[in-house]
Amino acid sequence: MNKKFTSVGVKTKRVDAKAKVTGAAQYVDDIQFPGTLYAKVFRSTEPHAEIVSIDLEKAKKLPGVKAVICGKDFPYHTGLYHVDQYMFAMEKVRYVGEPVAAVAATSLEIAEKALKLIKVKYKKLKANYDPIKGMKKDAPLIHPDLHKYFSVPSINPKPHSNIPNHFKIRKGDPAKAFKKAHKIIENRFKVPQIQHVPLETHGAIAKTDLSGKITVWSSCQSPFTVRYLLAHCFKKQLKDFRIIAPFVGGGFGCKAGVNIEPITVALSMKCLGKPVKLILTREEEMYTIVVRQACHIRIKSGVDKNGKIIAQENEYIWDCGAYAGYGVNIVRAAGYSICGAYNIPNIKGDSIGVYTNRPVGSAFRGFGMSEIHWAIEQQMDMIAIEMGIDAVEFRKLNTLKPGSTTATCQVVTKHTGNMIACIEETAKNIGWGKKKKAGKNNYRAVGIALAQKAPAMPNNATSAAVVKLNEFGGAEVLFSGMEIGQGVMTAMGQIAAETLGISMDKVNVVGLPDTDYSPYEWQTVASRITFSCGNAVKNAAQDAIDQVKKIAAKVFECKAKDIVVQDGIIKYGKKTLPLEQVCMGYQYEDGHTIGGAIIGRGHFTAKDCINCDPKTGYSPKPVANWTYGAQAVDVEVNGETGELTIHNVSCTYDIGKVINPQGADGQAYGGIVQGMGAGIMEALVVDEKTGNVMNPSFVDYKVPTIKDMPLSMTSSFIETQQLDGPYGARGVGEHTMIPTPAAIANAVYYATGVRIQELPVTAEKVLKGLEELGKNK
Amino acid sequence: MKTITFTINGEKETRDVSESKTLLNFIREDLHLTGTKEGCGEGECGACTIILNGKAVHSCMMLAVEIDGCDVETVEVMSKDGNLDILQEKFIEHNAVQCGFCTPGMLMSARALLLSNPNPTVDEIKTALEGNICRCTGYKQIIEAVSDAAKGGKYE
Amino acid sequence: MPTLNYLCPTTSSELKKILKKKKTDSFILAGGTDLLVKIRHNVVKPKEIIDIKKIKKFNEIKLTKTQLNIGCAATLNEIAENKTIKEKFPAIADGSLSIGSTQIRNRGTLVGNLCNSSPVADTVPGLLIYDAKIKILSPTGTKTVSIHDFITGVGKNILKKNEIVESVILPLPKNTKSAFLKNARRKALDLSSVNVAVGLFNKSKKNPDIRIAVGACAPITKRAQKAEKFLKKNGLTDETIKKAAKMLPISPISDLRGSKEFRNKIAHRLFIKLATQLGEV
Repeated sequence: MNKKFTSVGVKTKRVDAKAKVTGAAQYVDDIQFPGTLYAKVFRSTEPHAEIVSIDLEKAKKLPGVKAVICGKDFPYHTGLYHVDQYMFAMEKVRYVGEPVAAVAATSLEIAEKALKLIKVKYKKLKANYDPIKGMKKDAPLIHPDLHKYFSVPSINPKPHSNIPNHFKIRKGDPAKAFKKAHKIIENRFKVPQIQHVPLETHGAIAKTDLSGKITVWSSCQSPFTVRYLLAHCFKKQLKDFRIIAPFVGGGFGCKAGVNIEPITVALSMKCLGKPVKLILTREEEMYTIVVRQACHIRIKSGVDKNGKIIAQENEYIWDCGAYAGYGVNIVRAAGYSICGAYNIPNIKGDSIGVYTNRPVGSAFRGFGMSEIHWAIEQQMDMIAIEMGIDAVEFRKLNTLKPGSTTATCQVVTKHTGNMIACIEETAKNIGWGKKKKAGKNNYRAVGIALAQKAPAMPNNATSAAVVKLNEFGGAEVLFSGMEIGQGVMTAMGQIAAETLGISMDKVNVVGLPDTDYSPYEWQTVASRITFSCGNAVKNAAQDAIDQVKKIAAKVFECKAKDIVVQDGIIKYGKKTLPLEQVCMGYQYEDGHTIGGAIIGRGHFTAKDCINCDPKTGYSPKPVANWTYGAQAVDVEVNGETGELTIHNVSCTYDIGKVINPQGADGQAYGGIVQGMGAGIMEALVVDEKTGNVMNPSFVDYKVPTIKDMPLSMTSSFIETQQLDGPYGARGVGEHTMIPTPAAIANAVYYATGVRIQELPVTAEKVLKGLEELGKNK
Repeated sequence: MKTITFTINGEKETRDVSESKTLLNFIREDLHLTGTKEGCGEGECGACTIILNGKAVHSCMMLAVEIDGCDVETVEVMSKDGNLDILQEKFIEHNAVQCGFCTPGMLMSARALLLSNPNPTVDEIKTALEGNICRCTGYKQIIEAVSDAAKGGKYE
Repeated sequence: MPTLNYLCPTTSSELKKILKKKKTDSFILAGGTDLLVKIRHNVVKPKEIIDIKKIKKFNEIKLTKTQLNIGCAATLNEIAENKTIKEKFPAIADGSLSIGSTQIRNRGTLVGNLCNSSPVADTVPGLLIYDAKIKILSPTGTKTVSIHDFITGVGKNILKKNEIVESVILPLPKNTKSAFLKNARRKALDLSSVNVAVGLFNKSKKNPDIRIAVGACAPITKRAQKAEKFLKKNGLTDETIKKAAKMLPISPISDLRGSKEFRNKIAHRLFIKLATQLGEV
């Protein structure tokens, strides 16, 4: 691929930026319809209880209240991979914050007043907040009907238990290999639940018109999945629903799947013709919306004399929270990626989801990889230290290379990605091995961690795109990869412009989907859009340009394959024709016309992905592609307070062809800082007496501010072409989040000797560690 | 209801407003200036930042009645005649925008800074923006954009 | 928020008349950065709000020959940027600057921080070391009380329902230097896990007139009299400072912002750091 590109790979300004800097960009709460009704949700105050009775009568009688509904009005289930949740709690509630009833009223104040008139009686059940206890045989069942739930084939629930999914890897003969090991190193790690904290909380507006058509405006990552799940949930046709997705103020996974949409739809069905708006408060967002799953981790590694890992046991016990409709797939993703970016011949891996009475766990940037790499990448350092091998050299020795096999026995090829190049580039950029100067009483060092991730999606997840050429020789590009900030609109525009042979400024990127008009997209998750939707857009643009060439061939009286289109000019040898003269059909001098309005169509589905064997996890290709990367962090520890200052973060990812260098950098920096938040300050705290989230607001749930960010960040990219990627591209949305916390923890260890195995690495934990070592100042 | 007179984005207005309405809701619901966002409603995220008499403040932490006699600017003031303000241009150029939800508030804080301090240091930029949470960008490009916009010290 | 009555007096005498009729569900509004949060969370449910910002003299920061008056509507940023306060009362300027964010400091007031009477209030340690006087306005006139008598518990103070704090009065000190430090979970916009103000009111290292206040470590932040006396008697050395650290009147609790053990340690370290610094110069 030595062709010189004009749009792809070129630093490109975001196409949505002008709307966003002027305030013109509309988010769901900015849509103001006359006659809107305002919704509020009545939520469980119990972590685990039977619902004895629900009394809505007083609320219904309050003037201004238009609808009050609860589970018996809409006894419907939802769930993407594992259908385990009612729209409203029915027989029992399973976490504090679970929707029990909902109100629509003419004002927010009236809706809030009505909530206070709803009376629910509960019979308390014993709550459990510990997944390890939940796995025990005598543990009370949070979902006694687990065996009746529907799951997709790749999910393996264990009937009559609290386990909605158990993924196993059985590779080689670990028992035998452990016996041969020179050293065995075993450690435990913990990851707490954390919140996504998109700046825009969840919001939706639903309107059921008098004909029965239901339109939903939603802040969501996946409008077509919302439509599909709503139709399933309400037992209706897809044509009954129209989902319109305005700009989304951040998602990071929590707006994947379906969230509050069913509640607004149900209310709107009781208030025909009126838009019903539900915008969550920040507090509701914090304790009722899905969170990143907590995880209890044990890793046991056996190494030979040369430092090669020959056997490993990885055990991930996931706290799925009260429901696991989405979380079961994280359990699966962690399963097939069980040992991270390492080549280990003998593995016993168990990734087990467990229900608890905590908030509902779900997807979060990294989809299980951020969680397990916290442990894997510290374990690697701990082995390296034990073996007296430099952390970079140890990783180079053990990481996946062409010819290695992954946990599922997939063979790595030179096209998969180049981890060695990522490690070397990162080590060079951070100045690996050079001593960093610390301030008085302080400690300072560099830590490194690797990351690998694949898009976790069903094997038939598909993307579609339409490219309509216009009268001026430009194009409308339609697709439904959702712009959630990652820059998909710009990247899709670049791919279309490149393929069409026109400049970016002639491309109208129609990026905000409307399911009635836009082509299909499964979901905007998993760093899959550049790859999958990008392919669909490329194919659609190619289809359009093929049609152009067919017409032009008649005009030029030549073969279509001999024609090129560049800079909006159709060329055959020295003959040229402006593109706009063909887009709507070509008119000869005498007036007769050939061809007509050109519409290109394209789709993409990753090929040959095979489900993992339920007993061994074996699959020659469990996922569409892998992205590799290495990241190093230079950390200074305050010897008096334990406080961390992140001086520098340097990362290198092999993402195939970089479509928009500026966009890729943006994803890298954003992921680093989000990873830093998870690394040093974020954890959702649940009171085990009441089940209440103790920090459901920004007062006590802290995310990084501009003063917390690393003082310096650099990103670089290796471009091992993805053979089936658009122009060779893979995704980069999630990856830099993944290794950040472990790299910080490793740096803290090298600086101080303090090893923190439970996230986050707070000043308090570091100071305690310093004291235990007698190193506090 | 109380009648208040104020200047909004350079234009004088007189309106009746409920005493219990926050300034944020007044701006969004009554003035229909939806560029100003609610991210938390309690002064912890900065998405609702506006400029009041030249200073960046949270519109969620004020009652609308408090702006009687005051000068109020929202993000919409920055491109009033259709041309982008230099800060807006630099935010685009440096890719300081991702999901865009924090962007209006971020721009308001940056504008208030440059109006009072045309040549800020990086530390001064960080202090001016410390109350504006961005969950997407990692802040690096935002600092670069504001620094670049301040070059020459002639922001107005 | 339910409907409410909004009053906006422009003179003290107008305010006095309003205060006379003020009921318990009527609330004073200056910066609003605490009040509006409380209203949002239904902690308070005002029927009436009295906005005192339009009274001109309440906004003033005024220097006389013997004292500095900080009006109740003067914002935290005005205080943090005020030349006299930065020079003469650095612990108060730095305490003010450490609160919230730029937006919060552009609205929030020092008097509001004081009247909120939270144990974590960042301006209070500074006010304590400078023996601030609190001028209270009531329908019948004004009175002045000592800062040491003002706060009576967590979120509680001596103000009666028809009283407000009109200003804080700081006697101008001679030969002082002071400093403030705060520890929090992140580097901006956070509540203190611990905050400390230390001032040195003479130039004697042998018999230092040192004043110490540690916040966020007890229901009421108080001066560390025992430690002060000890240092005055024994002089300011590395050793005496370490000993004095053990005499700080702190009894922190464990919460989301830190365990009591952590708070104890941090309080000691911040105090030692500040006392050592002040002693050095």
